[in-house]
This record gives sequence, C-alpha cells and structure tokens, in this order.
Amino acid sequence: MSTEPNPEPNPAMAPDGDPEVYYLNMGPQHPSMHGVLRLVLKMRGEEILEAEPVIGYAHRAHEKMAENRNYLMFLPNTSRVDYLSGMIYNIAYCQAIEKIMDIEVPERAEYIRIIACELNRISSHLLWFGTFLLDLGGITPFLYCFDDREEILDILDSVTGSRLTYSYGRFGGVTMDVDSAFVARTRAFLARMRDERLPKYRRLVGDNVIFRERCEGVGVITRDVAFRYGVTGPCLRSTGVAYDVRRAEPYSIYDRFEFKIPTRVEGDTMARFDLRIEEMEESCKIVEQAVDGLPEGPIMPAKPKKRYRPPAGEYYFAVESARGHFGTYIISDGTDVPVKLKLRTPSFSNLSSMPDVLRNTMVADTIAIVGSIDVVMPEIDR
Amino acid sequence: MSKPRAEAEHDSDEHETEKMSRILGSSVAELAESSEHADYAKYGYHHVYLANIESIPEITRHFFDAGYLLEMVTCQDRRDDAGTMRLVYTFNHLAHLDRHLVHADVAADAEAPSITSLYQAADWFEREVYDMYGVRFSGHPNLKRILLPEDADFYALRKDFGRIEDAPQES
Amino acid sequence: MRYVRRVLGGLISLFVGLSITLRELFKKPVTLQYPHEKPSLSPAYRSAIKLIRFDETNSHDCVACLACQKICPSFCIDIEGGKVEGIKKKRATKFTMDFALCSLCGLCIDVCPTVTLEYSKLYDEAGYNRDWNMDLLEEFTDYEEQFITEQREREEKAAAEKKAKAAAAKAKAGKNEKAGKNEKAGKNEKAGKNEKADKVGGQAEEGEA
Repeated sequence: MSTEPNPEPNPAMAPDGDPEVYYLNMGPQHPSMHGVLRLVLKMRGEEILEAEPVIGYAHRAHEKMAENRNYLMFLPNTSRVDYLSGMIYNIAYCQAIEKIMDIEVPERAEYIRIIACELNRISSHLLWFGTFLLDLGGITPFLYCFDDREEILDILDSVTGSRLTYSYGRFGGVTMDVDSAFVARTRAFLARMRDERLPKYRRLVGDNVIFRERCEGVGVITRDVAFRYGVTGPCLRSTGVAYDVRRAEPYSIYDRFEFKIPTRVEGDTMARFDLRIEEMEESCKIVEQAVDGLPEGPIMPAKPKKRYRPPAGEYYFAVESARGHFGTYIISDGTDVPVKLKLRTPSFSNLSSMPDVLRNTMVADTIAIVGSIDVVMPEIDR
Repeated sequence: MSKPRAEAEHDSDEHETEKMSRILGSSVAELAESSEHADYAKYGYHHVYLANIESIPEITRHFFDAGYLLEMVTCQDRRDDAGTMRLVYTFNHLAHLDRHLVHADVAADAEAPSITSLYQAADWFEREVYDMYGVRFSGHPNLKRILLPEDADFYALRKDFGRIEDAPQES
Repeated sequence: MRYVRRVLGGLISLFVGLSITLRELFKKPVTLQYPHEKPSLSPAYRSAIKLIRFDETNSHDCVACLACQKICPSFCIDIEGGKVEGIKKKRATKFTMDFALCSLCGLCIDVCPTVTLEYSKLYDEAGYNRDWNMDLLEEFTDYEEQFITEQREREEKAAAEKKAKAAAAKAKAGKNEKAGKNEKAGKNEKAGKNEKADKVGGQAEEGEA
C-alpha cells in the first residue's frame, strides 16, 4: 500500500478570496505556548476567523514502545507521558494491570498512593497557575507557586528519590515506604497551603482588576461544544457538568474520602481559574484525610509475581488526571508483551476543541484561552 | 453547597437512564453483528459489539441521540490474523457509567466512514488512526497526518514496522 | 456612578496586590544560591547503579543471570559471564551500563536475585561528552582472584560440612535400612515383583533417609 505525503491543507483555512485575510503562526517556539504547540491563525485584523492547532512536535512513540516491551518494562514510560502528573499516570497504569490480573494491593500502599497522587495533582495545578499568570504578564505569582511546588517535590523526593518522573508504583503496591518525617512534612505543607498560600493567591490574583478584565467572559466553552469534542476535566466542569472519574467510576479507595467536585456554569477562563483553585483545596482535604487514616502494614503483596501475563482480551481503565479523563486501553494476547496499548489522554480532546472556541475572538485573548484549558503537549503527542 | 445539576439529574431519573441504556443497548445490538455484556469489574466496559463498518454511522447516531460521549477511537492491526484492521470506538455516558465498546473490521485497503459530522471529537481521533495505521476515512473534512511529520512515508503502529532487535520476543 | 465605583474597586484591588508583594519583599528569600550553596539531598536520593560490596565476601555477588539485562527498558546493561574454573558459583566477567540511556527506574534492582545492585549517591556528575559507559566491575577486578580462592575454600568447607551431616544421617539410617532391606527381600520372595512391595520398601527407605 502506498503512503503518500500530506494531501491538501485544511479547507477551513483557505483564504476565501478576502484580501484582508492573513495568517499568523504562533509557535512551536513560543514563550507561552505550553510546550511545542503550533497554532496557525487565519485572521482579519485583530479577529481570528479560524484557528488550527498543529501538534506532533513532541511525539516520542510511547505506544510503539509499549508494543516492544513487556508490561513491567513500560513502567518508567508512563510517568513521561505527562510529566506534570507523572505520579498519577504511573499509578494509573499499575492500577490497570492490577485490576486485570486481580492483584490485591495492601491498605497502606493504597493510602500512600492516594497521598502521592493528590500531592501530584496539587503540584500540577500550581504549575498551571504560575504559568497561566506568566502568560498573561503577571510574573510574580509564578515564583510563589514554584516555592509551594518545590515543597511538594521535596516531599515526594524524600520518599521516591525522584522529583518529576517517578517510577514509584509497582504492580501490587509501591516501592518505598513513608515514615513519620514524611507525614509531619505533609501536614505542615497542607496547613501552610490552606491557611496562607491559597487565600493569598485569591487576593493577589483572583481579585485583581486587570486579571478579571482579561478573563471574565473570555473563551467560553459551551456544554454543547464540550460534549461534541469529548472535553473532560476542569474544562468540562466549568460548563456545569459535574463529571469526575473519581466519582463516576471510583477506583482505588477514593470512595472512602469526602471531597466535593467543584463546578461552575459560566464556562469562561475565569470559571476555569476559580475551579482549579477550589480543586487544589479539595485535594488538600483528601490528603489530610488520607494522612489521618494511614494504616500500618506492608506496602507490597507478600508474594509478588515474577511474570505478568494478563489473560487475552481487551481492557479499559480510567482515572482522573489533573487535566481530565485519562484512559488506558490494553489489548493482550496472553503473553507478557501487549498487542496494543492506547493511552487516551485528556489534553488531546481538550485541545481539539480550540478551533471552535477561538473562532471570532481577539488574538490577544488566544494566550489566555489556550493557557486556561491547561494543555500539556507531551501527553497530546505521546 | 447545592448539588450540581448533573448529579441531581442522575439521582432523580436513575430509573429513566437505565431504561434508556437498555433501549439503546438493544437497538444497537440489532444493528451490530454480535453483542455481549462484559463484566465491568474485570474489563472496564459494560457492552462490546462487533459491527459491520457500514453500520457505524447509524450506530453512532443512536449513541449521539442518547447523549453518550465519544471517548476514544483507535485501531488494531489484525492483518496477520484476519486480514483486516479493527477499529475500536468507545462510548460512555457522563451522568451514569455505561461504557460501550464497538468493534468494526475494515479490509486492508478499504475506507471507513467518518463520524465527524456527529462527534467532532472523532476529527482528531480519526486523523491519528490514519497517521498510525493508514486507514482512510471517507467524509472526513481534513484527513492528514497529525503526529508524525507530514512527509513521513510509513504508518507507525503497524505490526510490520519498527520491531527492534533486542525487544523482548513474545514468549 | 457605577463606573466610578468600578474604577475605584479596581484601583483598590491593585493596591491590595501591591501590599502583598511589598510584604513579600521584606521576607527572607527562598532562593538557593546554587552553585555557592548546594541543596541538602533527600535521604532517598539516588544516582547511578553500582554493585554492592558485601562484607562477608569483600566482593560483589553478580552471577551473570542476565535478569537485569532482560528487564532494562532502555537496553543499557551489557553483561558477560558464566562458570568460573574452580568454584560452583557463576561470576560476571563484564558488566557495563550506559548511563546516557539509564532512566534510574530501578527495575534492575528489583529483579536481581542476589540483591547485588543498588543506587549510588553520586552528585553533580557533569561531563564534557556523552560517553557514560561505566564499567561496574572496575573496583572489583583486583580482588577477583582472591575472591575465587576464598570462594573455593568456602564452598569446600560448606561441602565438607554437608558431607559430615549426610554421613551422620546415613549412619543412623543405615541400621534401620538393614532391617528394612531384610523385610523387603522377604516380601519380594513371597510376592515376586510386586509394585506394592516396591512402594512399601521405597517409602520405608525415604522415611528413614
């Protein structure tokens, strides 16, 4: 079968014979494009007529690597798919295989996983917060957020030995145990976050008039657009749909914790901002409950398996990552090398809604909108 | 805090939505060649269907009318076993958990119908399937490569491409 | 009037923000002046993989089973080795790892059957090129010959102990065996080649050995 190179360009982007239409290329090397995203904008004056995201600059062939390695060898890759929520993806893959092979996870390991994943979620939202404001021109909160984020990274570093791309989970549990110093440090961090830092961010940024003028009413994602494009995560919750995989398909021990699912109805950039601050607070609540209830016990099953051979068939497992619904689809043929591993990443669908959202907006709002949907290019390109 | 709207709807018409998913399940099952229930606790989905590729747009229309979200479109290279490429569509409802997996076999050089007129999410998913497996979709507004370079002359996830020598052999 | 209130409200929010940043200005900075100040490494800090030198044997315990080579996702381990003359244990003769590829995932450490791999605590390993193929056996080569000698002695000692134990047990069983054999011979004469008799004899022997 012949493979011909790229055929005709996108018909929506054709000039239409209008002499005032011009094309602006944002990225892939751009200080505020959140990784290597290229946005081709068809514009008339300041107004955007059509936008086309061009992706693939960070494609590293993770799915192909999965077909060339066995299940255990793929563990380090999972963190690198989305390295900002690396712990969540790592544990999600472990949980998928555990569900398929009926491996029981000890209680203590479950609690530790929840603590690590929620801390990772907070650190991802903090990074989003800092870079979002950096894009809008507010350089100050960026370093405040990174100060908080450093504390989380140090806490996770003291247990796993890595700061960003963890290989912490194993099938059945976690590799290293936490001690009382970890618990004390986490508690101190949570207290500081809830009492001092999050209110400060609200006052410094959320009430700021320049920020409000730039974000209110900008980049509205309607429920219909969100449904058609498969948008999940905070972008969907900002339109009023309370869909969170931790509630819809409870996995691990999330059903033991009390936490709210924040929603807004406006669907604009300001709504997504408020929503993520609230989500950070809810994650702090979850970590606090988990730390209070941390039981004693082992962190790996007594007799871990040597070879992992899931029975032949197709399996799907979903978790809530910091950006939305992350699904792992595994086709196994009974050997220890998968036939196919598909990673359904949330930012892929979230970014595909950009042409609809960016139509008829101003180019100056593009940065705010693209920043507010929290796209991470490595998980789009895998 | 008042209950968000979607959760409130779910509690009050749980019966209604279960009835709807049963109706949906049976109408899709009629269109498909085979359908079976799957154990969610083990597999992660509730129903799996094998459908003729020609009936995919109609099946998709049923899911769209019932308010199901298109979660994923992907493909499996089965040219060694069955001489076909198997497309996999995943649908799920946001208010109540009900995941349906639809398989459709496409012959090695044939085209599949695109469902972008209903779900714009399929736009990028189908482009990725074309990019990685070479399956063309008729009726797609903008079918071109999405992840690989535009002038690439290979389809990356096909089984006859890219096996490295010291990869663990399937034992 | 509403417009004026909006403008005033906006100005006040700006002053609130400035007051926050002004307060931060007089706090102690959180910046670590690297490279003049180095960070304190976490207790779980881990760096390149190395072989453990055990106290009892003063050498490593790699038996060249190739488990780590098979599990490495980055294919960066290269081992050669096998039977060494004079001792029963296998030894690795070549063990190189390419740390330009290693992602420190720890799967090799998990899977090693003799627990002879561990993380080192190297820090600040900057270099001028990408040639990071490290030979993990370098520090063990001088001692290798002596290790083989000592290992041979250890194995002979262990074999001797085992033999003594087995001899003692056999002596004890020998008396019982004689009685058992007479019984067996008698039974064989009576019943001929009977599977049951063999089984009984076999069981009796197994029970006493």
